[in-house]
Amino acid sequence: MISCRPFQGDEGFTLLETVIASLAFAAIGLVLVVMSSSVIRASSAAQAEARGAATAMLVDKAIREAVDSVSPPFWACAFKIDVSKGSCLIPYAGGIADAMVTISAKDSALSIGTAEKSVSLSGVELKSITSIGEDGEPLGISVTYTAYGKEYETRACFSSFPLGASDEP
Amino acid sequence: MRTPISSPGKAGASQDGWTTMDAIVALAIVAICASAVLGGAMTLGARGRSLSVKARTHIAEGNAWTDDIVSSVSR
Repeated sequence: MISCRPFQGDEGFTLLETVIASLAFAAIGLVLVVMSSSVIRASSAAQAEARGAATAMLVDKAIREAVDSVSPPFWACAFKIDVSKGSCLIPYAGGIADAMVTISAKDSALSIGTAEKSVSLSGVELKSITSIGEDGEPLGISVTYTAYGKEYETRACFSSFPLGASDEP
Repeated sequence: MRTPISSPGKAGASQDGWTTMDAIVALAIVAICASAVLGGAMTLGARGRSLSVKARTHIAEGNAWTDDIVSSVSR
């Protein structure tokens, strides 16, 4: 038996028994509170990780698709892309000189696409966009962004490249 | 009033308190439930991390492919 003294009819608990029981309940309660807070923290961290990863995958896919649609013809020697801090304009979307692929950031959302087809993804902050290539001849772009606090970088190249000065016969 | 929790099925159970075995079984049940909850949370955390690693690997593969093309064009 757990009781510390023999059972004597309809007596109540002694002060010592009450104190011990209260301490036991307090200890169990404390353990449960600590455990539940760590469980909540772990699950919210896992949720953020999963959301960030899923968003990064979507951003990566959207950037690759958009950049892959850029196909300047080989004679377009004046092919240039307009890269600024918060946006990027790339001509020759679908091979058409006036059609632009746009990547721009606004209010914690990244917008990627053309005038016809555009994707906007929230929870993404644009860090930087730079041109990939040598001697001012862009071959693709590198986009650095954060999705739910984690930083990612996507490098994507165009589906065709104009002939550069070194390629001239 | 003293209100002992009786263990059903035992002789003279109506006035008995918990036996040591009862307490151990109850504590074991609580411990199992708590460890199951903790285990679930840890599994969830591991899944989140593995998804993050998968995303990074996927993006890195795409970047490597881009780098290959860019280096071959630049050459």
